[in-house]
Amino acid sequence: MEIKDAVLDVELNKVKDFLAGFGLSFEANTELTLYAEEEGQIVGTVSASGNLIKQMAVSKSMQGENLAATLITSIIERLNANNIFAYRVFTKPEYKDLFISLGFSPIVESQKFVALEGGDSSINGAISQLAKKITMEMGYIEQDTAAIVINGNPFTEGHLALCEYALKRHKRLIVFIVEEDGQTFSFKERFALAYLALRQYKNAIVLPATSYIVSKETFPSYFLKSVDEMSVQFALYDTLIFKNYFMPALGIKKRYFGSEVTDYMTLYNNIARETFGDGAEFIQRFTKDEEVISAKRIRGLIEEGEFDKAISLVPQATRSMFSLMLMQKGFKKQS
Amino acid sequence: MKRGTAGTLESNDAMIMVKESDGLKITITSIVYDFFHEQIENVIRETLKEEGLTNVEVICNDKGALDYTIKARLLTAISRMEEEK
Repeated sequence: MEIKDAVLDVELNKVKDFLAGFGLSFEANTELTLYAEEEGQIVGTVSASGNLIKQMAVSKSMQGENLAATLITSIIERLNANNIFAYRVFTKPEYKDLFISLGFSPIVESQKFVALEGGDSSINGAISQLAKKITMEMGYIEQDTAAIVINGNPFTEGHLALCEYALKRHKRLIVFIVEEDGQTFSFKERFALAYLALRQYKNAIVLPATSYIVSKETFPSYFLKSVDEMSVQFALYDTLIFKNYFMPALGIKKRYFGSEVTDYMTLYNNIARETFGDGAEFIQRFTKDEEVISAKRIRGLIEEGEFDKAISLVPQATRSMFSLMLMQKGFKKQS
Repeated sequence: MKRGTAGTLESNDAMIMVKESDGLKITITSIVYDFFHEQIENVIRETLKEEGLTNVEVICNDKGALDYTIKARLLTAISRMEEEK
């Protein structure tokens, strides 16, 4: 038996067909795929994107031969070679024990998925880093803390209004900025804009959301059957991770959401209510000139070259930094 | 931060990661944790002592390896860590 890299389309197509036999799909953002071949036949495969190990399957004929261990070892060696030493797995609950036997530890699970971590990765370690940062900057962990998790792509007047709403009701506010890059504004830029906008409030702190908070776009769904199922499982993951790890360690009493009226948000809201009980509150999006202020609207205005309108929708304190960013990014102002 | 890894997840082997750290820290996951974690930890401690290393973190993912396998994997991981620039 041989472990090979799937690089050619022929190989990738073989892997896709093999996965389909297990009811698994091959996600478009897959970066690395290995497969085991015996006598010209695929007998097992595993993939990775970023620090995420996924799309593992082993043919019936090979089960009990420990091929899973070989595949995971190979992919971990490859990740290590790329300087990735902390890994995560999202898979069906029935494979939980298999991954535990390979040294992974479960972090959250539902009836449809289990998320595990391995290598040099520890969610409790990541959260205690945040707790340390809070203690360093603000002296102690306040037990009456509100939290908001946002992309802030970019941070808007609407975000600021939501923050002010939460600040009025709690002694402290934590704003978590999602770390994933690949958006119009990078993590550093989004973080800087949120920091500037909230600097005026002594009881507000901006923190990175850690790599445990993922966006819906990168949530692995290769083992889920439909988009609806994916939405439900994503909402469960997002809310459970927050409730089980972030809230107790950081004194968070309530998580606030800026709410939109879409089918997806309704679904998310329902799941969040189930998970948090009264630990969640949904606030209607704030408006300006009878239009909802959203980061999406600002990005649209930038694309159209309507800089002045776009700038009018970000908080006063961030306007000069924001226009500087627009220039640096090479957006063209409408003449 | 310098790191080194060695080993596999096959039965009777262990995958070991070593990295520079502020102090000594050892994390063990093992399929035979309840019976052998103290013994595994002793092997790791002894080996680190022999190598004169105090400021490292060792993450050992054991799949039922014998003592000298653990020692060999750890030594390889250490030399890989030291090779790194």
